[in-house]
Amino acid sequence: MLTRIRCCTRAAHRYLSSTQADTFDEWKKYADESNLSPMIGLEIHAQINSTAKLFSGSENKFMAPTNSLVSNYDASVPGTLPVLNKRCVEAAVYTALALNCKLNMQSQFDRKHYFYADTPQGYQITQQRCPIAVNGTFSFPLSSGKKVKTIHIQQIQLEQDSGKSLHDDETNHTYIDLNRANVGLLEIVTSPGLTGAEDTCAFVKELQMTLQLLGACDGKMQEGQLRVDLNLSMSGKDEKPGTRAEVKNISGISHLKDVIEYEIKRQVQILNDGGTVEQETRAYDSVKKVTTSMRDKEEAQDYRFMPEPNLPPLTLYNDETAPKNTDRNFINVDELKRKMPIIPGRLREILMQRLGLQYKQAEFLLEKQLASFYRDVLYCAPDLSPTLVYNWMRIKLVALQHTSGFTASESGVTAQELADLLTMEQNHLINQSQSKEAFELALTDVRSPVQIVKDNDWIGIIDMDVIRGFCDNAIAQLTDENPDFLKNLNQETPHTVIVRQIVGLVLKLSQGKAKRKLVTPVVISILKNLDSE
Amino acid sequence: MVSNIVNRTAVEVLKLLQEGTVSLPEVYAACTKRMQQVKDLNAFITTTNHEKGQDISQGSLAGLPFGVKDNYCTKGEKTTCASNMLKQFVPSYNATVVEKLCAAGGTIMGKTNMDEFAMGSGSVDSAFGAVKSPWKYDFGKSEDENDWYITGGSSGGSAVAVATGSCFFALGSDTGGSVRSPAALCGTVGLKPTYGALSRHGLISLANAMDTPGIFTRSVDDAALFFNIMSGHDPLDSTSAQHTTPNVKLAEVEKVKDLVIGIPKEYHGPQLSPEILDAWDWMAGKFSDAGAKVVSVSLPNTMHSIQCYYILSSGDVASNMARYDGIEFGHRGSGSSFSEMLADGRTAGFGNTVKQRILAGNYFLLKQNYTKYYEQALKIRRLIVNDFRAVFAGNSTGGSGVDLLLTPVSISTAARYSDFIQANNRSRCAEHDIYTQPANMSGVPGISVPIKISKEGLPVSLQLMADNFNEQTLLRAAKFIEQEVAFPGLQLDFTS
Repeated sequence: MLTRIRCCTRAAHRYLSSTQADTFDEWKKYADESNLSPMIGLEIHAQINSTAKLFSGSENKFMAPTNSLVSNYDASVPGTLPVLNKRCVEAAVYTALALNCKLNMQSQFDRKHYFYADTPQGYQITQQRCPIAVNGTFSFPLSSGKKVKTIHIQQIQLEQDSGKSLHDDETNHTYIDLNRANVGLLEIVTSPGLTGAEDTCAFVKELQMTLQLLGACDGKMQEGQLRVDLNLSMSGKDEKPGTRAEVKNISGISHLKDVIEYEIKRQVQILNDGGTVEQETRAYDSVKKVTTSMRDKEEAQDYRFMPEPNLPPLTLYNDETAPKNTDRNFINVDELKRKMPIIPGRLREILMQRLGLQYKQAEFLLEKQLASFYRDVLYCAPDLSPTLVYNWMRIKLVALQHTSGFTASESGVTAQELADLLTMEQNHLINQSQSKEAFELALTDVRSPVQIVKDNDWIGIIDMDVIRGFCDNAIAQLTDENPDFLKNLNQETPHTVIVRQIVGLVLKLSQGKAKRKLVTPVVISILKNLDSE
Repeated sequence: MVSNIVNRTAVEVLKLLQEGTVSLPEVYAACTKRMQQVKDLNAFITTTNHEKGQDISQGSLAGLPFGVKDNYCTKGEKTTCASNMLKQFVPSYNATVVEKLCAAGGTIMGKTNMDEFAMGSGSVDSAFGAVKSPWKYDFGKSEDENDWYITGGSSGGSAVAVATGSCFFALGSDTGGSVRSPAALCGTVGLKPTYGALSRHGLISLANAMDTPGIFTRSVDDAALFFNIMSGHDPLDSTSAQHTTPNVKLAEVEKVKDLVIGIPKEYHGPQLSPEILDAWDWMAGKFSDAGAKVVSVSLPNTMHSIQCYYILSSGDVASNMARYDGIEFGHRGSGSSFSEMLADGRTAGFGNTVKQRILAGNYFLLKQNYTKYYEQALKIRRLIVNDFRAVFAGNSTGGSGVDLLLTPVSISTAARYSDFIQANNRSRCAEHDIYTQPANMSGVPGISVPIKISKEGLPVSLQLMADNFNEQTLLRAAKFIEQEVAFPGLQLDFTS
């Protein structure tokens, strides 16, 4: 059944892509003939997962009523001043560590000026001259884990998000929502070392997973938490990069893929026709699947950068330099290093090399943000079967995640508690549905799932003599009711209907305490050995 | 009823209130009456007409009335910055220093007039009209008939309010001399504390790295009192000093035997009026007579200071003024697009001086100019800071080891308005801020203390500067001067 579905989708995919195949082949041919190859660099804006905004105390939340999360500072009311949110700096430091960057122990904020209706200050506070981190590397898997690619990270900077403008064409009114204004952003800038849709999408996916795992960014692209600006140029034989076009605000991996393919095609066609690619900013139209020039944005915009005078330099400390007083209002990088979660790249390695998972299985857990939970459960109970834990998470936990919307880290159930619960399941003290129910109850209960199992008296019988007794009773009872009950019994391969009937009765007689998994083999062995009695 | 309440210092009035010799309503009545009498001077933009003096005598300030320059946000009270842009702006919060004064029992009498957005040195460039000096003003004549004197700026309204007795102290802001200069020309004490000692939260920015809340008072003891109330770290201002500034404590009689007074030779300029030069010389002699060591020192980069100040402050102005787009607050223009609306609103909302500085600032910040002007100015600013560090550093570390610098505040006494407006705002500032803006460039505290009345009948004042966060020594020496000179203060007579 499963295979059939797979075949269908593959066929559909082939069909769909064949409609574009001509043009795609075309550009590929052009590109190959003229030795053109794409060079792609990204600027990624990741909204920092913090309860408060970057420079004010107002709440950072998605989908709140319009302009309900706006402090005086966010609205740039005169006299207000920025106060840096420590949590946002921590997120930046974690990200810098994960991306192997050099941290600038002293970084600075700058003002970038431009008039825009949803930028209330008339400038954005960013880090242009001396960002918090520079010069990193980041590796990510390609071709289903068969290859690994490493890309150079130019810099990571902290900056403010803008508000949102909503334009009503009918009335020619623009409405401004400042809920997003001053939300903390991490801008991550890569070198132009990416070469196409595959590696670019793989990089963004891995980065997204990493940011999620670090707690730095929730990474929901559809909510605009992770936005990609793409710089793409075609380099010739001499590997000198051509003129690049920038496509702004791409918010989805599938969009990213479309944009890259469209831009490559567009630029190759221009070059092939003897034209030149214009250096410009373009926007992606996700309905028409094309990029269009954003002519309203001035091309030679001078942002008139200047140092932000209301903020002292941002200083980071380490164990050696940390102030000795009790004031905790500083960031010790060494302390964060010690608290640093394991990043997806390393987790994947552990899952595959030490904890018995395939690439796809590891990928599944990473995507569902369950990988470290999985690892912790197996570290807590090394005797647990990896397959049992994986399957339990894949089916039960993911279903629960879906219905109750929790994440592993905030479930309130520890890895040890889940390990204890699954050990009970593995030892047939409880069955699968009981383990799921106990876990689900524990989400909203102070008790551990195991305690819930005990309190509900769900622990089954594992004394095989007792089980055998129940089985004997059940067979006797069934034979009493119907003397022909065992008449058609094939002792080599006992009839499933007969076995099921007996097992069913055993479960009933034991009031559910005898578990099917233990009872079934006993019943089969009794039936096989009936002759000898 | 005690006579002449409005001529008393804050400390004296607080004592009278405590003794019960005078009641709070009497104090308000006296101040309100004086405000009315000097209305022509245009010192206030907004007067707050709350019922005063009934039950608000709590706290160490016991309800004492004060003035607030109209660039400090006051909750529920218009805060205009003397600009059409903010004519209708009513903040929802108090600036930290206002909050602290109110919490200590101060009562706001009104918001004082100033140069638009504090850009100016005469308090003549205000959307609400110029402020006039009370000195030699003929209240019997109409405004037009008076050939009046300027107050200095930009906090001219606050200086006038305190000099005339409309209130006992007033907040000003000092970015290049905007407290010390009007204090000097109006004959009050004007304190510009160390940058970072007082919170800037709620002070509408001119040049953020130099804006310093300051105080006008009628005595040095008063200045110490209000400085102590307002100083201290403010979590809402990331540039406010982390450490706690110790309270200033002044003796009944201040002695200066232990002090070394530096006379910076670069402050001898050809433009300096002989009368001020004489006063300076005379005061240096007084210090020497009292046992202080008076030495000549050098601040070699002083001559570049005013140009750098102009570049840096214009850059900040261009940037700080960018928020005035009329969307969230302020004057909103009209037009069919955002750009048109913005251009229209800003054209109507800002005065010429503001527009000129915005243009200049944006010019300095352009990519092709930044390293040429702005970056160079930042570097020279560092040299100026080093100059001050060096004179205040001890002899053992190669410094001059001086405790204080004694200098003029302005090159001359107040000019007549008719003379003053001959030059444009920019060159007037360059002339008037010459002795004051180095303290803003370096962050050191400075104070203007009146010395005597000139032959023309106008106040002559001098400036003291100390090392960062050394307000204690600064005010000690200022009190010494005050006791030596026994400045008579402004005597207004409305009996006739």
